[in-house]
Amino acid sequence: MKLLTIDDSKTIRRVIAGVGSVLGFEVLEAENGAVGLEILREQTDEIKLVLLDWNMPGLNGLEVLQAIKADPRTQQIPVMMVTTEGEREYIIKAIQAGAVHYQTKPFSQEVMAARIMEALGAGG
Amino acid sequence: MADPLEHRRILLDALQGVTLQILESESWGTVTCDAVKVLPSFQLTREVCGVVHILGALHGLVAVMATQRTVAAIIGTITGSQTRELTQEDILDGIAELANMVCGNMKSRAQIGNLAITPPVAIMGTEFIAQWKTVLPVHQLTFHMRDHTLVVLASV
Repeated sequence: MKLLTIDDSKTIRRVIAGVGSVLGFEVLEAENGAVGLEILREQTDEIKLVLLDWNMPGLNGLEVLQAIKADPRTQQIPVMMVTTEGEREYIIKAIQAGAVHYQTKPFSQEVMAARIMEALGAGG
Repeated sequence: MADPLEHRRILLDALQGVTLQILESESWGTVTCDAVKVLPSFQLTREVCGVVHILGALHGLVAVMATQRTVAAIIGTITGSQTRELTQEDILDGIAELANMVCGNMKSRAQIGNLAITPPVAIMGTEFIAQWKTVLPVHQLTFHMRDHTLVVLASV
């Protein structure tokens, strides 16, 4: 089972990769939205969750989310936003666009582990 | 019409609060902040700097800066990496993400509406002088954790 983290920050991708690995997932990394969508289309059947940053060069997180949900091949894959954007309006936009969870940065590894399990429907 | 001076005060309070919160959440224990200083100019004076432009209801610049050793220590605690494993690229990425987290959370906490932040610019080196010309006041917040110091400049 694979997770895909799409974030322009290597630091954040590294934290998520570490958490995912502890949980037993293979973690795929993309440094921007276009690369993330390409990986997602190539490995649709194996990716169980996408962790998506909002502010990135090129496509922003909302645009990537909308692209994922607009594609019948990928629209069933759950997406969790992982971002510094904590305002209510951002959260509402993301949920309306189909995100299943919303985690603001910074986060502890324990919190991220719990959020991943929740987003996959296996946690509280 | 909103009062820009009041907005500035709210933003600076938020900046101080979120920086303390972020540093304390990353296992630094007790973090202290010196009294806010007003500087004559906006100059980057540390080895590693992350700079974010604030746009919207207020405009200005925020810089987060420290020595390479301190940034490596912060990134090491965030990622669980040994600091000796971190490359220059890791340090640059780390200060950029730290600046992004500080400014993003500042914006969320301040709630003064219509604020946006640009992607961060990261600068690293011992042989540069960088200055942003502004007519706005420049505030310096200095944070101490263990034997490390992090400086945040804000001109909004």
